[in-house]
Amino acid sequence: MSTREATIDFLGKLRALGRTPVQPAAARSAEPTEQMAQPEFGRTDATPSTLTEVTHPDGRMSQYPPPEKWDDWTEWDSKAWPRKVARRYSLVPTICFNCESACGLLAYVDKETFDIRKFEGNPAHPGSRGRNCAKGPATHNQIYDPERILYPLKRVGPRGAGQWKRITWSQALEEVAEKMRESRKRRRDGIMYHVGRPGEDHFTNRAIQAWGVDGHNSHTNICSAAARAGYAFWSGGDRPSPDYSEAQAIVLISAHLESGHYFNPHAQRIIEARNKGAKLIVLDPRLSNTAARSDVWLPTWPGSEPTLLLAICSELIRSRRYDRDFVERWVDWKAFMAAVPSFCKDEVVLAAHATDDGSYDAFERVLEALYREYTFERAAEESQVPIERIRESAEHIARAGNRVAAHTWRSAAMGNRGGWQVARTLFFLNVLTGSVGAKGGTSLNSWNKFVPKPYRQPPAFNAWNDLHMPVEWPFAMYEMSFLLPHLLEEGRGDIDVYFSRVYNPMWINPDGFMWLEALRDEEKMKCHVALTPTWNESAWFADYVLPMGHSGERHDVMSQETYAGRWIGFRQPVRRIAMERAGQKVRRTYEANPGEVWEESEFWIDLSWKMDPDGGLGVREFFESPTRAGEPISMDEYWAWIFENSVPGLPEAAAKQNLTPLAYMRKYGAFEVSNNDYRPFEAEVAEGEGVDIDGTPRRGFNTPSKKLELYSDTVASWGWPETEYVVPWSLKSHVHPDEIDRGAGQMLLLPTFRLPTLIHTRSANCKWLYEISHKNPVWMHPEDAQRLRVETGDLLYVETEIGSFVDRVWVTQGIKPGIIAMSHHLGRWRLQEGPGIGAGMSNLAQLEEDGQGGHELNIIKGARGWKSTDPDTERVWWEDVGVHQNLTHAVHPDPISGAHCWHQKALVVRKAKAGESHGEVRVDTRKSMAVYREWLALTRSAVDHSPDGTRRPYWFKRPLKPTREAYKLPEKPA
Amino acid sequence: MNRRDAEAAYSVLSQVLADGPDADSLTPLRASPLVAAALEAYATHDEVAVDHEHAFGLNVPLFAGAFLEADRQVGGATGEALAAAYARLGFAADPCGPGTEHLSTVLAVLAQVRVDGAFIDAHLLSWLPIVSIAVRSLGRAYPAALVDQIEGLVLLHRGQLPDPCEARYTLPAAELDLDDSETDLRAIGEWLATPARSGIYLSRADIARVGGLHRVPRGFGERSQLVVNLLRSAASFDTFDAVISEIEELVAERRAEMAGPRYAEVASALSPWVARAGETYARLAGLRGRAAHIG
Repeated sequence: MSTREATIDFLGKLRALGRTPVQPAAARSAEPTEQMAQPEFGRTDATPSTLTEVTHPDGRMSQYPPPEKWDDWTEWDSKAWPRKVARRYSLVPTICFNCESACGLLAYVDKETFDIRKFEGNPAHPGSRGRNCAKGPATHNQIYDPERILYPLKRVGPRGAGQWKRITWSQALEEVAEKMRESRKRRRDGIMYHVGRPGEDHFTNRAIQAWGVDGHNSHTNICSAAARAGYAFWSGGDRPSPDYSEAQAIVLISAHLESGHYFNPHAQRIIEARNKGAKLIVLDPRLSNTAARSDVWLPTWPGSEPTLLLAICSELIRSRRYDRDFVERWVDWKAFMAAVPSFCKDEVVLAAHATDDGSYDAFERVLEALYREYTFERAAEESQVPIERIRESAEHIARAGNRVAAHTWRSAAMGNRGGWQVARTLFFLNVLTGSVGAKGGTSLNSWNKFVPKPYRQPPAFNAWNDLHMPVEWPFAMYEMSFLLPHLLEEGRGDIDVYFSRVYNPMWINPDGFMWLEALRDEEKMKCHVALTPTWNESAWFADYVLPMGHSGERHDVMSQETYAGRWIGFRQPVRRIAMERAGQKVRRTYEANPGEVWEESEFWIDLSWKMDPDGGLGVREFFESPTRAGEPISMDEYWAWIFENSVPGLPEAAAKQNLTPLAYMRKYGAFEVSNNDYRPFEAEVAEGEGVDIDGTPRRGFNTPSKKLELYSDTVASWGWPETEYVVPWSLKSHVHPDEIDRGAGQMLLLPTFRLPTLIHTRSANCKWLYEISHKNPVWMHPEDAQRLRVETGDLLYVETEIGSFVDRVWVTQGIKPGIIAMSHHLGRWRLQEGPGIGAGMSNLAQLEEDGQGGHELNIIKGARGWKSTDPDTERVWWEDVGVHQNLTHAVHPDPISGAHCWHQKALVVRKAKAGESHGEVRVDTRKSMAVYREWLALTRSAVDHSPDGTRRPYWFKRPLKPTREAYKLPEKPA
Repeated sequence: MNRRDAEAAYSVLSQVLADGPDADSLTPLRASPLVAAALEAYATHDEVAVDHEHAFGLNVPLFAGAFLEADRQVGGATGEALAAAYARLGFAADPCGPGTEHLSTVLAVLAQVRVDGAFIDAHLLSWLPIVSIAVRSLGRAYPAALVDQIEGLVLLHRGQLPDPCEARYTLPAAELDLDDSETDLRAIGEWLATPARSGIYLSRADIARVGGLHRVPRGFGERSQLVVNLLRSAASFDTFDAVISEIEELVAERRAEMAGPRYAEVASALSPWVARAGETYARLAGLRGRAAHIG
C-alpha cells in the first residue's frame, strides 16, 4: 500500500469511527492505599516569570529563579510539554541529605497542593552555587518512594522475623525513653547512638551530650580514620580543605571529579583551575573518570602511594625547590633534630646529624639524608608506575610553588594497613611547598567550615565507653565502630539502647554477618531503635523502626569545607515552610510531612523530654524553651537563637533586608560567613598564647608544639618510636605485592570505589539513580581475564579470608593487572516480598545458617518491576542489582589509626563452577574472629604504653570529648 | 479528499504531537494503516512513548524556526510569519499549546481552518520534508510511520488545491567561506548543524552514527557542539577525511531523497533545499584534505 493509498484508507476509517477531536484523558482516580501517594499539582493562568542569569567563574551561564520571586514562582510544566501548562510554586531552599557536601537545593512546592514538584540547585548557596549532582534532584524519589516508612513500627515476634505493628509516636517515645531513663540511672555507657553520615552539625551531638553518656558512635573508622590520623599527627586538624580553584597543581588520591567527599562543590572548582591551566595529578590504580581527565595518571599499586609521594618530597628537598622559609618558620624542626638519634639508626643520617650546630642548614642536611632512599627509581618499582610520570608529577608540583592543592580522604588511606601515612606523606608535599593554608594551597577543614555554637551547651560527660574506644587503639580516629560485634562477642560489654540512625551497619560494615549475630542477640543489644526513612537490612533486626525525614523534611544546619571561605547552610522542611508562607499554622513538622514522618530535631527534643520528665536527671533543662517556662523549645525558637547569636555577620546582613536572621535563612537557605580565609595560623595573638614565630606570638596549629610536627613525639611516646611511625614514611601494606601470591592465583580485591550516582545505602529507593547504576561487576584486566579464561559477563568466584562471593566480571584495561575492583553501594537484599527495600533495587534473598558460624546468602531472584502508587515501579527493566561483597570482608583494624583497611586478599579467583550462582555469598564467622585477633595482636595497648596513665592523648579530637577525668585508665581495663 | 475527514485526521495527528502517545491518542491513530502496522512492533504504550521522545524530543525538534532560521532559534522571523498567517486566517492558537511554530499547531490550523496552497507551501512544505527525512533516518518504526502519515496527508491535501506549488520561502545564506583563515572547525560545525545554511538536518543519531563508524568521540552538549566535537576529534585522530566523506554521503542521500519521487509533485517547493544540499556536497568535497589547515 502506497502512502497515498494508506492516507485515503486512514481518512475513510476515521470517518467510519465518527471521529471527533480527541478528548483529554480523564484523570486517573487514585486507589486508597497505605503506600506513599504520588504528587499532584494545581494549575494556574499566571504567566511564567523571567529567570535570573548567573555567570559562573568558569564561563558557563545558568538561569535561576531570582530570590525575590521565590515566594510566588510560576513556570511551565515541563511534563506537559509541548503544551504550555503553568504551575505556581513556593520555592523553598534546603540542603541535600544524600552525602556530606550539604549542597543547596531549591524545592518547588506547589502552592495549591503543597506537593513537591522537583528539587533544583540553590543559586544563593556559596558552596554548590546552584549546581548539583544527580543525587540532589533524586531527593524527590526518596520523598515519594512508595515503599518508604511512614509510621512508627514495633517488632512483633522474634527479632528478624519481619513482623511489625504500627504504633503511635507517643507509645514509641514513651517506651524508648523509659529504657533510656533506666539505663542512664544505672550507667553512663549503656546508650549508643550509631550514626552513618550525620548530615548535620551539632544538634544530635548536643542531645547526646545532654544525656550525660558516652553515647556517640560514628562510622568514621570505615570512612576516614586513616586520613584523619595522618593530618592530625602533622597539624592537629583532621582533614584537608584544598583551595582548588586557585591552585596550579592539584594532587588527588581520590576520584573527586566524579565522586568522593564534597565532590560536587570540589569538582566545579577543580574544573575552574584546570581551565586556568592547573595541572591535575591523580593517584589511583583504577582509571576513574577523574584519572581520565588528569594531566598525569599514576596508577599506583595499592599501598605504594607514600613511597611515590616521598620520592617527590625527596626530590624537592634534594634540589632545594621547596619553601625553605615556610618550613623554617612553621615546622618544629628543632624537636625533630633532638629526636633523630632516638628513632634513626641510619649511619648516613646520623653522620649528618653529628654536624648539628643548631642551624636550619644542619636540619636540611639531615632531612635530605633521611629521605635519600626515596628515589624515583624505587617509587617506580614499588608503585609499578612509569618513572617518567613520577618525574613529570614532581616537575608540576615544583613549578606550582605554594599553589598545591592536595586531597585524600578514603581511597588509598583507607585501603591499606598503615594508610594513615598516605595522608601524612601527602601533607608533607603541602608543607614542603609552603602551600599550607596558602591561596591555591591546602587548608585544614576547620578553617573553612563554620559550626555555630549551640544554644545552651551541655557540659562534658564523665564517662568512657570501652566499646567505642578500646584501650588497644589509643590513637583511633574515632570510635572503633566496625568492631562492635567483635567486641561484644569477646564479652567486653552490652548495650541497653542502640540507635542506628540513617545507618545500615550490617550492610555497610565489613564482616556483616558478625553484625547480624550481634543485632539478633537480645542479651548484648537489648533494644535496637532504627531511625530511618527507608527499610534496610539492619532495620529488619530492630525492635522499633521510626520514620525520619529526608532532605526537605527536617531542620538542620550544616557547613563543609569547600573553598577558602566559610558558609552555613540551613536544611528546612519545605512543605512546612510553604504551608506557613501560605498562612497555615504548622505546630510540628510531622503535620506537614508525609504520613507521620517526624523531623529528627523535634524527635530528639521530645525523646529527651520524656527521658527526663521531671528534670531529675539534668537532661530536660537543655530542651526547654527560653521563653515559655516548662515547655519544650520549638524549632523557630532554637534556630532563631542560633542565627541571632552564633553566626557572625548574619544579623547585620538580615537587617539590611529588613529581615530577622531566621527569616533571612528561611529565605536564602545559606549564608557566607567569611571568604578569602588564608593562613589563619599566622594570625597574631596575645603574648603568652599561641607560638613564638620570629619573636611574634602567632596562633599556630592544634598540636602540642603549635607547629607542624614532622616528628611526632606523641606517636613515639605512646609506644611507636620507630622511624616509620614518627615521621612521614612508607609502611608495608597488608596487600603489598609480597603478601599477594600472584603465582598461586591470588589477587588484590579493591572494594572501595564509588559510583557518582549512589551514596552507600542511603540512595536505595531512588528510582532515577538506580536506573542509572545498579550493578557492581568485578573489574579485571584483560591479562588476568585471559589467564582465568573469563570474558565480560562470565560469573567469577572470589574467595576472601572469611568467605566467598560470585559476581559477573567486566574485563577492562581500566584496572591494573593483579587487582580486581568492585564498587560498593550495591548488592542490597531483602528477606521477604512486600514493602521494604524496593524490589527494583534489591535481590530477594534467602539466608541460611548452620548455627556454627556458617552463613549463606542465596539469591532467589534479582530486581523486577512491581505495582505501586508510582507507575514507574512497573518499568524496572534491570535484574542485576549487584553483589553484597562487604559480607565477605574480614575486619582489618589498623593498629595506629583504627581504620578498617578495606583492601582484601582475594585468595582464590576463578571462573564460577556449575551450581555457583550470581550474588551468592558464603561466610564463616569463626574465621572472622580469627582474622580480628590477628589484627588485634598488632596493637600496642594504652595499658602497656600510655606515658601518663590515660587512655588516649588528650589533644586528639573526639566527636564528643569527655572530661579529663574520664581519660584515666581504669585500674583493671575491660 | 473529504474536507471533514481531513480535518479529523489533522486533528488526530496534531493531538498526538502535542500530547504524546497514550491509549487515548493512539486509538484513533490506529486507523492509519501505516501507524497501525508500525505499532505492532511495540508491546506497551511506554515503548511507543520512548520512541516518540527519542524522535521528537531528543533528535528532531518539531519547530519551524529550528529548520528555517540562520540561528536555528524559535521565536524569530519564522514565528512572526506564522503568527501573522494565523491572524489572517482567524486562527487562535491554544495559549497552552506547544507554540506558534510547532508542527502540532500548524496541523491544528489545517484541522480548523480552510487554507490555500500558498499556506502549505510557505509554512509546511518549507520544512516538513526535512523533518520527515530526518525522522525516517532514525530507524524507529512508530515515529517514521507517524511522519509518513502526516506527510502523506499534507501531500494529498496539497495535490487537491488548485494554485501551483512553488517555493514561497527563502533560505538564509550559507555564510561559510572556506578560504577565510578565520573559518575554523567550530564555524564549519555550526554551519553543518544549521539546516537552513547547510541544506540538511544532522540529528544526534546521525552524528553518533558517523562518530561510531570512524571511532571518534563526539562528546556531550547541544547538537552543534556535537558536530564541532566530532570534527575536532576526527582532526585529532586523523580521520577527518573519512568523517567528511561520511557526511558527504549522508548529504547526497538526503538530497536524493528530497529530489526523489516521493516529493515529485511538490518538487518546486523543495527546490531551495535541494539546491542548498547540492552546494553543501560540493563544499564538503573541498574540505577533504584540509584538516591540517583548519584550526
